[in-house]
Amino acid sequence: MTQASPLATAVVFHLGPLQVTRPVVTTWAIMAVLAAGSWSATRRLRPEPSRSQAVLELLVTGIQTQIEEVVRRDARPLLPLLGTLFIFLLTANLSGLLPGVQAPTGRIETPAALALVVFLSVHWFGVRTRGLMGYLASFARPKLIMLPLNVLAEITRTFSLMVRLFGNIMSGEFLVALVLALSGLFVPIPLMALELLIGVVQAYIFSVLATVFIGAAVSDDS
Amino acid sequence: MRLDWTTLALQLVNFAVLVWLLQRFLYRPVLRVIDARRAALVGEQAQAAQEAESAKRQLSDLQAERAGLLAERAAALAKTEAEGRQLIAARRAQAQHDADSLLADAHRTLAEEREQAREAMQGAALELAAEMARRVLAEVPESLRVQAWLERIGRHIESLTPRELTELSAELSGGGTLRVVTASPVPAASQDDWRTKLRAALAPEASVVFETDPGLIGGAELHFPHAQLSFSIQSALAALQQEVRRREPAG
Repeated sequence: MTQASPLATAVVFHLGPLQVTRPVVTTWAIMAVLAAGSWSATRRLRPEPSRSQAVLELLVTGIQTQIEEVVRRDARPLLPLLGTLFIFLLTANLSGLLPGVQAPTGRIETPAALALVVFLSVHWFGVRTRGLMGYLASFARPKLIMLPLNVLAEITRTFSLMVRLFGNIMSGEFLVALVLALSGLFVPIPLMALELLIGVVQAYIFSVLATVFIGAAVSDDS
Repeated sequence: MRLDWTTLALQLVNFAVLVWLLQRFLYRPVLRVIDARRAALVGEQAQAAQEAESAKRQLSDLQAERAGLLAERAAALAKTEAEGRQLIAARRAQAQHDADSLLADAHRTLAEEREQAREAMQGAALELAAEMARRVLAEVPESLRVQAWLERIGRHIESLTPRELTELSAELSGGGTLRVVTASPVPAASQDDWRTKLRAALAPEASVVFETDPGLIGGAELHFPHAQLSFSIQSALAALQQEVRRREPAG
């Protein structure tokens, strides 16, 4: 008897030739919730903010301020990407705490996709800010001999982004599921609280590292 | 574990769509309202600064206007004070002039009244003297009233210098008339006697006529054609009056 791997991605349905897996469906749900929540929260914005509007403005300006403190320049162009990255990661990481829901980030494809987005964004913003040659020349700094190492670092740090997020979230889910299966209903609660903390921290770390990478790419100091 | 490339691709698309959705429904509206509020604040700050500048300018204008008003007030006060002083001086001069005029008029009126009183007193004194003389003479017998005066005239003619006597005789020469005016009628005998004496003393061919004038009070007068010898009380009183006037101090 062959037992399915717990790391395998379950297919929910097929959309033509495409296999729609469970993380994709969960992501769609998260997207729907975030989009609907954003639309609901921002449809009646007023110059004199209400309490909920003030919280919303605080969230957006807080993310913008964090980005500005890292990249040391106007954060408006980076806000949609990095803000969405943080909000999605936070929501996705914490969605695993809901009964019957698996965090999309607990499967390798989602962290890989996000790491790929960060990888591509770094080079996009770098080239757009410094020009193609200027950006490519930055890989040969401080010495030409550093070129292979810098290129390798670009790949490995993206890989580490992916693995760090995947490993933390996946291991947390496994641990909670294992303890729940072995002990009882309320025993995993402390572990779930720990998982909550880990989810927030990992979302923050992923977002900050993505910001640092992009900031380094657009900075003239590198 | 193997990587599901379809899922990876779908997640890439999902993330891109989520970026668009949040940009559309979250970041853009929130940033728009924040920018609008910031622009409103900047506008209000600019307006407040403009109003403050305007208020400062108005304050400056008001201060300048106030200074101008104060200067104008000081000038008006100075002008009014000068005009007041000038008016007071003019009024004072006018009052002094009026007082001087009144005083001069009073002095003049007083002098005139004094002169009138003096003349009235003199007239009264002369009237009194004439009355006294008239009453005294009324006590004298009528034959003696004229005789004494005629004798006095005779003595006066005798005391004339030859030159004076010659001049008087010249007036009567050629039939000139000598009028003898007395206060009371001269008796006919006395008239002949005196006519003879006067012709002998002055001119033998002279015509001597006697006339009566009660205004003389007493005494007699010799009226030559161009000269007159007065020895009447009236002429004495007139001479006395002229002497009194001469003795009075001027003014």
